[in-house]
Parts: sequence; C-alpha cells; structure tokens
Amino acid sequence: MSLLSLDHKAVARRYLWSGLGFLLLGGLLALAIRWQWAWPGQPVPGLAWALPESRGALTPPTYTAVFTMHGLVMIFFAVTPLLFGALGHFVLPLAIGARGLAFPRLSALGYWVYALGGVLVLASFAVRLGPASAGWTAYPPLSTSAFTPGLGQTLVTVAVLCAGTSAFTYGLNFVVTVARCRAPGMTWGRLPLTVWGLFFASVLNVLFVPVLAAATVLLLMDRLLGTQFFIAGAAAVGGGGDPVVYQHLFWLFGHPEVYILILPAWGMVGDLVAFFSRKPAHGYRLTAGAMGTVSALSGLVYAHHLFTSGMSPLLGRSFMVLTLLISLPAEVMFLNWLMTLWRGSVRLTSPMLAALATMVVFGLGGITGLALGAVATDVPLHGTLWVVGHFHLTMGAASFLGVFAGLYFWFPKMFGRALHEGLAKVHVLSSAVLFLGVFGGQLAAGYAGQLRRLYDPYQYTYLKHLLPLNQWTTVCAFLLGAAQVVFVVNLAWTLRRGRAAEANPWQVGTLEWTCASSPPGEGNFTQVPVVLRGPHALSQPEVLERLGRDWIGQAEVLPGVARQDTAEDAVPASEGTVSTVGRVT
Amino acid sequence: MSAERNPMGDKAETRVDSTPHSTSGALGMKPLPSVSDARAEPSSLEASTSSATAETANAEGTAWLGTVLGLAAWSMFFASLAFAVGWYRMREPWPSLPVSLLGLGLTGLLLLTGSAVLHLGLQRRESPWPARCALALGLGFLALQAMWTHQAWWTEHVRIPEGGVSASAFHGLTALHALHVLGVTAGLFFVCWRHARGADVRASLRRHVLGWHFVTAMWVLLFVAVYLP
Repeated sequence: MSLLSLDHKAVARRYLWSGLGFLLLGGLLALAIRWQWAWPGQPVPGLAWALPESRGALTPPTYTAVFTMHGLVMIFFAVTPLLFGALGHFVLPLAIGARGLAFPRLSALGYWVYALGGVLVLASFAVRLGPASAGWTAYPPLSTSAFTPGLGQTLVTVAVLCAGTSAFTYGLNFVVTVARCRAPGMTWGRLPLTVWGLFFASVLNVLFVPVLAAATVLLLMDRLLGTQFFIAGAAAVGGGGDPVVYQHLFWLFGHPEVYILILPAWGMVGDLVAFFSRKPAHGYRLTAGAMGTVSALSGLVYAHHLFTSGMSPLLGRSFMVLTLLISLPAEVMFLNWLMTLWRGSVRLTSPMLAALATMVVFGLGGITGLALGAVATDVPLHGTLWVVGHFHLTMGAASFLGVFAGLYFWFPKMFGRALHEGLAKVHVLSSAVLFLGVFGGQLAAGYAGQLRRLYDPYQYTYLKHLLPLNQWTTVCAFLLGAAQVVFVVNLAWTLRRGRAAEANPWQVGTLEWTCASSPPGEGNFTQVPVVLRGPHALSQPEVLERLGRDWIGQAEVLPGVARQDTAEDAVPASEGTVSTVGRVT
Repeated sequence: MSAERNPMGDKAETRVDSTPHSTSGALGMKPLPSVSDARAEPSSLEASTSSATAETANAEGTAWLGTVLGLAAWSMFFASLAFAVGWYRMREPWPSLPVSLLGLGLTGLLLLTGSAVLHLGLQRRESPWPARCALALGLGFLALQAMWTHQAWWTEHVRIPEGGVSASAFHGLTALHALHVLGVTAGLFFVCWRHARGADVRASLRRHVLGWHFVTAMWVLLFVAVYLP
C-alpha cells in the first residue's frame, strides 16, 4: 500500500511504524534518565558524540531536556499513535463491519500532520540550545521565552499542536464512524468492548484536545509574539498574566488525556479476558457504562493535579471527592474482568497474558493513585517519584501492555502471519515483571521522599540512602529495554519468514475474524456482514450442539434456527431482507 | 463452564443508523446492492440508481454529522480562551478598550447579517448570491477587524507587551477568531468557485453555512468576554 493510500489499514500501518520508532526513542531517553539516577554525572556509554563537552555525561540542562522529551515523545508520539493510530485505525472499521472510516481523507491527513509533528520533535534535538526542556507539561513561566529561549521549545510546542490536531481529526473520525457506519444489525449493544473504549476515548479526544490547543496557542503567542498571558512578576510588562491559568487549561486537557490513553486498553482487556476465558464478558453493560461514566467525569477531576498550586481548600475538597468517585467505575470494571475470568476456561495465550498483566499493573497503579487523590496525602507526595511511579504504572505500563495485547491479538489479521507465540509470551511476562520492578522501585523512592526531576538526588543527605534502590531499578529498566529486543526479533523474523496465520487463530466471533481475510483486502469484506448477535457468543450450548465448537461469529447464521433472537422478539422468518433493528423480518 | 448467553446478543435494539448499508457510500466506494432491493427485483439500472442515491444521501448525512460534532467540539477551544479571559478579568479589572465599542459591534453585525443571509439563501437552492454576499461580508468583517486592531495599536497604543494581559487578549483573541473567519470565508470562496464551474454544492454549502454560524457565535463570545468593559 502506498504512502498516499487512504485505506484505513494503510494509515494504521504508517502509525504503527512511526509509533514503534518513537517508542524506541522514548525508551532510550528513559534509559538515559535511569543512568543518571544510578550513576549521577558519569559519562553515558555511547553518548560522547552527542555531548562532547561533558564527554557523554548528562549535564543539568541536558538532563532536563531528556526527561522532558521522554514524556512528550512517549505520550504524544508513541503510545497515543500506537493505540489510536495503529490499533484504532485498523480494528475499528473492521470490528463494526464498515468498509472503512467515515472520512478516509481526514484520516490520511491526520497521519501526515502527526508526522510533521514528529519531524519537528526530531529537528528540535539538532538545534543549538537543544530540545524542549520545561517538562512535558511545559508550565510557564519556565516554558516561556523569558526562561527557555531557543528554537527547540518552540518547535516542540508546535509539534504538540500537530499531534493534538491529528488526535482531534481521528477522534472525530472514530466517533462518526461508530455512529454512522456500523453494519446492519450491529447495534450499540453488540459492539466489542474495544470499540466502546475507542469510542469513549475519541469523545474525550474531540472535547479536550481543543483545550490543549488553546493552552498551547496562548503559550506560543507568549513565546513568539510577546503576549503576557502566562508571564507575571519581574518578567511581566504592564501588569502581566498568570502562569496558573496555563496549569488549569493544561490539566483540563491533561486529565482526560490519561483516560484517553487507558480507555482503549480497558476495552481490549474486557474483550480479551472474555475471548480467552471462553465466556461472555461479565457485566458487558456495566463495563460499557463504567467507561462512559469515567469519560463523563474525567473533565471534572482535573484539578487534583493542582492541589498544591494555592487553590482554595473548598475547591480542593470538591475535586478530591470527584477524584475518589471516579475510581469507582474503574473498580466495577476490574471486578467484571475478574468475574469473567472466574470459572472460565482460561487460555493463556500471549494476548491474554498481556491483558492479565495490564490488569495487574493498572490495579497497582490505580491504588497508588488514591493516595494522590486525597488532598492530605497528595501534599507530601506531590512532585515525588510516587507520582512518577503511579502514572508510569497506569499510563506507561498499563497502556504499553495494552498496546502489546492488541498487537499480539490483531497481528495475524494485520499481516496475515503468526508471531512466534513463545517469544511473545517471554516478551509479555518479562516486560510485566520488569515494569513492576522499575515502577515499584519508583514508588518506594517517592515514598522515601525523592523528588522528581532532580538531576542529582544524592546531593541531599536525606536521599543518599536511596542510591542502591535507584541502581536496582536502573538495572530493571535496562533489562526491560533488553526484553523489548525479543519483540523486535519476533516482529522482524515473522514479517520476513513467518508462517501464514490461520483465518481465525483465536477462535472468536468478532467480525474482523469471521468476515474478513487476513490481511483484509480493499473494502474489508466481500459482502458487508449482517450482525446477529453480540461479540462474546462463547460457550453457548446450542452452538456447541449444532456446530461442535464453543464460538460462533457475530454474523454467522446458526443452522437449524429460523431466527437468531430471543423468543420475545419472535417473528416469522422470510428470505431476503434484514431490518435495521437487527432482526430477520 | 458458564453457559450464560451474551445478555446483549439476542436483544434487538433500535439502531441510530437508518439505512442498512451505510458504509460503502460514505467512502465513495461502489455501493453494494441493498438486501431489500433483492426482494422487489427491479431493473438493474433502477436498483443501482436508487442505491447510489441512497448512498449519496447517507454520505452527506455522515459529513453533516461530522461537521456538527467537529464544530461543537471546537467550541471548547474558544470556551477555554474565554475561561482564561474570565480568570484574568475576575482577578483584576481591565481598562476599557479605547476602540469604539459601537464600531466593534457593527463589525460583528456583518457576521450576524451573513448568518441571516446564508440561512435564507439555503431556502433558495439555485441562487449563488447569498453565498457571494456572505463572502463579501466575511471579507468586510476581516478588513474592519484589521482596521480596529491597527487603530488600537498605532493610535491608541494598546500594544504588546506594554499593554499587559488585556492588550494580549484583545490582539491575540481577535487574531485567533479572525483566522477562523478567514478559514470559513476561504471555504465559502471555494464553494462559490465550484458552483460557478457547475458542481452541485448544496451539501457542501450547508456545511459551510454551519461553519459561518459557528464563527458568528464565537464572535459573540469574544465580544462579551474581551470587548465589553
């Protein structure tokens, strides 16, 4: 498929390769950060060419740039493009029985805008004063030209705007596609949970990326045009602005953003635990409703990131209550996953292992978030590595493992080849264990008081004893990096010489597996399927009896049954027509 | 092993989508023969014509929904800007703008007039004049806004950075809104151009009219948040 192809599958592949490339870059930046914490001020092997004056050692400004770019690259250019760009673009139309996205040209444009942002990010490494170095959150006044002059910060700010524009376009595309382009019979109640996750995340993208755009545009105007929106104090002219406004605007986007990063993974976990327990998802409606509730509340909890910003305590209490409330739907969903697993016929395939690992890391990360949601415990923990461990477990590890759950699950469909299952399991298990090692270690260090973004924590007497802990987590981080080589080897070998995949290797009933070839051709389906049942029709007695297997396709007619609905909906069968309400009429 | 059936699998629920085959038309692909067509067995030409018409209507409906949702969501951009302005103005009162409020209001009236003209013009489907009139009004709006900001800067010395955050908001938000008006006006220009070349632009025009209403509504927000004392 050419670079100009409008096919959603081609767009998905472009996002996949770009996202994996930026994942590598973000990962290398993370290893540089870990090196600094384990061996502060020591030359980083292999970096002497980039930092000749310090012979490869990170200096404080370089360290600041490294952790800034790590965060920005991972969030905007790696995880989001992999979840939405690669998996979302590929799976969503297929799973709902559509021939493509509602706006194919918009999806192609969205990729190229993202790619432009990626080019700007890479270019920022080459400019004289280096890339952005004001934290991924880019708080003013540090991020204004008064305190971070230079082209790098500006380029990266524009790059974030590009990534946001791309997110807005594909968010809109996904929402309209799900609303308008479902196959006949694909009611909202028959959507796979992955589609629900992508749908709600797209709603959040569409609503809250404009808020990021507003914050970023105002910041750009401050940097380039001399406006005073976020500049106050000594740097202000004529009665300046207020940097805290940026924090409110940013986190009004930033908190929904973390749900944007996890909702598709939640959806995938919901589907995968059902598929590989050979049971319908327990509490399908509750799970979809929980995802919707979390989405609805996500914009109302944002100021828990601002508990220490000098906000009114009354506001602090209000946001605290809402933040603790928003954990409840996630707990409902978690319980539904557990109940799906309970007494299921569990198949520990690589996607299932990745889904289970996602549950574990998200569970732990979510619980640590409760300490941050309450004001009293947030005040001592804010700005420490506890926060870093929390969001890496929930946003880094859980989303990352969710991406790999999706990749391992849909890889045979995307490429028509089967990855080596053994290598996949090694990759997933080692990554999960090492994630817990790295980010668990960060939680411990944060609880002990190590602040985030410190160049040399050990200059403080009270943190000197944390050196062995940080060295241990650095070893885990390097091993985690090495574990990714297993995936790369598996991927490269399979693409070159992998065996052809079966048509439906996971034996599940969703449309992409039962009605489309691997990989799907142009138009996805020879004939648009007519959906007759939900996505988790597993282990149904009549199917076992009539077909001799424990799964049936969403659009598959069950032989010997005149109609596919419940007795209450009984209407006589007749040929040839299908109504839009999913019944044979 | 649980024999529980999918609680959703057997329930028939009303779909949002009203046409059975809504997918191929939205992509401009060759439409599938509708399943309902097979029953009546019309001629193949009639079947494909009615199917193509249905697909086109469906594609237009999809594009309309996308426009409505996109614009509604993009209003969050202006809402955020208004939030920021509201924050600053609640913290500290701003000096009144030295630019004529009546002048700014009459400038916005051009947008409001354009909204009315376009709304009425949609009733008369074949006439190009409402769209051309709106095009002129849009360009007039931009010219007048440029004049007010020019006057504010050079004559009244409402400047960046000397004017502080109030001047930043006046110039910055006026420029951001003007960029949106420029985008909508450019879109209208291309609609008129395509119409002059004989294309059927009714659906496209409807979407651009929605865009016009959007920038008009956002101007009202701008006026209340920034221009009014």
